[in-house]
Amino acid sequence: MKHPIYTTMTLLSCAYLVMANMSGWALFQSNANRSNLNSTSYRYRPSIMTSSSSGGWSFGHK
Amino acid sequence: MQSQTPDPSIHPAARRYDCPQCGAPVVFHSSISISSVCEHCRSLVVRNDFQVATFGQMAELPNDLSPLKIGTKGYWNGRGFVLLGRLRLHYGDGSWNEWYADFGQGTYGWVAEVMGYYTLSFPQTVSLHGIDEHTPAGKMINIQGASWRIMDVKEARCIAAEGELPIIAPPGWSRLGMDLTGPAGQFGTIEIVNGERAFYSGDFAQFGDLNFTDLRKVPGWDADADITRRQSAAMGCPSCGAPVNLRAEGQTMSAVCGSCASILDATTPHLQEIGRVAKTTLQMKFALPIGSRGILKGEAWEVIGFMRRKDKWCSWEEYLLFNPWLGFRFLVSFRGHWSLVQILPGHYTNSVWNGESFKLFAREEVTTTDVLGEFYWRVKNGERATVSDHIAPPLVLSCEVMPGLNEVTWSGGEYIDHLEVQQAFLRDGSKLSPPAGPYLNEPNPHQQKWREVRGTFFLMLIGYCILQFLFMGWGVEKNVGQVHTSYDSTQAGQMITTERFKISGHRAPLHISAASVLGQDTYLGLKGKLIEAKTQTSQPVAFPLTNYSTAPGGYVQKVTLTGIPAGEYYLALTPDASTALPSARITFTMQHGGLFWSNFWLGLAGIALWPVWTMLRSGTFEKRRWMESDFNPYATSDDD
Repeated sequence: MKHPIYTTMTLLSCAYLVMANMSGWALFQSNANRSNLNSTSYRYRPSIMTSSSSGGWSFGHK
Repeated sequence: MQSQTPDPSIHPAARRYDCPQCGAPVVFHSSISISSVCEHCRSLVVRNDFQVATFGQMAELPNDLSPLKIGTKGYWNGRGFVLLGRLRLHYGDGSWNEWYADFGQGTYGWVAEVMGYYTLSFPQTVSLHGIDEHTPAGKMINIQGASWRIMDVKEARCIAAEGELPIIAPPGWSRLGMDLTGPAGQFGTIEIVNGERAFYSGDFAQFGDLNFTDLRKVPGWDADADITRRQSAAMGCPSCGAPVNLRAEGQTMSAVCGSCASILDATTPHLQEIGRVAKTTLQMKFALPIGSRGILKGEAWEVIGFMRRKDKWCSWEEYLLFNPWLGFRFLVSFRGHWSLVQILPGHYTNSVWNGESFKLFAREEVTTTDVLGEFYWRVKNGERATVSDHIAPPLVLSCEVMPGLNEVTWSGGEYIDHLEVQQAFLRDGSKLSPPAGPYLNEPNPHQQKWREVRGTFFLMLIGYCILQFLFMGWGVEKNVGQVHTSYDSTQAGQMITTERFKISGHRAPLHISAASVLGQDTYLGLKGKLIEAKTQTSQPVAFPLTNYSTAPGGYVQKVTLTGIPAGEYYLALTPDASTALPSARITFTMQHGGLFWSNFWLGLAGIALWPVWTMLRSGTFEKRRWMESDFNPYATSDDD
């Protein structure tokens, strides 16, 4: 084996795929779907546009 | 007269005679031998039936560093042989040894030592119609249906001999020899003596190919050699009188006096001056000092010559190395890059060598500007040649054509690390310059890595794709069902809880879509949790539903949760709605299963990133290399 680090990396990649697929898990998946709050038209709701304290909510941020 | 006294030291088939000149015993070991040089008085003794006669007296053999001697045994192509005698032949530009080899069973051949390599040839009975001494070098001739090229034509004279011979070659005997190269690189020669023509064919060989045993101890190289080094030490330059030490005596043809820059003829003891090199050459500093010895690639070599050559673009240095058993090699140096090069006798194609295919890299006229030391040819300043370099890194295959001569010389080399050269020849701690820029046969380090890794890469890539393909069948999305709930503005701020729904199977992503029919320009945000009823473990979710005329389609929102195991679940949500929205009915649709392709791409990047990076760098390296070439395959028409 001339490149043990690379071989290890490829095996880890395969292991990662198996593990992630079997558990239905993803490294780049937001559990809270937070982006929905700021990436949809919901962000333009009047309560946010008029007052930051009277309405609307977010996950820890406005 | 044949002696009747049996001698237990000689073979029973051998015949012993008394030298007619001095009476010393002269032995003929082979029945083919017809002449033998008396060891005592050097008379050439020729036998005829039971009679012997002398044909003059042979001169002393000149000193040389040949590792062969009479009695040396060899083994070639399944046949053993023993060397019984030799001729020292001289022609205008030098001299060489022809060893008479007895192959047993009444067969013999000639083993020639020429420029550090060997040729074997055997007499053949063929018709040589239309070939005479006027046939020029370079011409193709047909011998028994095969095309042979005449490499050179020269008249050679016997200047000395020893041992037995299958011919009568008295002092001064001469022959015209035509050296040939066969269609598959074989060696051949046509000898013309007094109008009689004979054809010999065989092969080129390296020292190792001939499996020699019982070799001579070489003075200066073998610790227990019979003769101490440098019999030629007493020789002096005829021009300035300075002592001249020949480092490859008998093998080289010219030497440059290190004192007065005269070029001397090294083939005769008189060291006749045959030219001069520029005196500035004597002031030059060499990376490798002439006379230094070192172990390179497991073999001992001595630096015996130096020359600088140039073409219209640049100049480079070539060091001639010598080893009595292996012959000559060149160390070619350019901007810190080094190649170990050897002559390839019998080579005839520019496309393949050592099983590798070559590409033409450069073809230039080359001039020798400086020379010093010894060479196996008549070297001179200003010597010109057209050199074509073909490459298959780390190998280089060069073809050299001297103007006016129909002689083509092929040489093959391999790139060698400068530190290896430094370690071999520089013992005083001095260092060689490191390589600068790309070089024609410099190994592509990235290509090497790519070659090493590509097998693993493709194997793992295929396995990885198969793995994902199998998961695509295993991890299909399944409908879990729908639950409904309502929002009423009169209960604003109160938590909405959905009905429970069951998820079965293995852990998998859960996709929840929330949809509601909202009034014009209203919104309904639902923030809360997906809760597992039994354990009360939860996952946050948010469904920001809108129905703006400026942003249609906001009334459906999808949430994907990772790794949701089987169980009974419900949604607990807090609404955030516009005051204009009195009520709304919300439908949640659940699907369980499926794959995240981001995992696949991430893993794929892990497998492919380094090999692809290596491949790209390899391509960049090759482009930089070929930028130096007139035959750049990467050049576009805009570059012209």
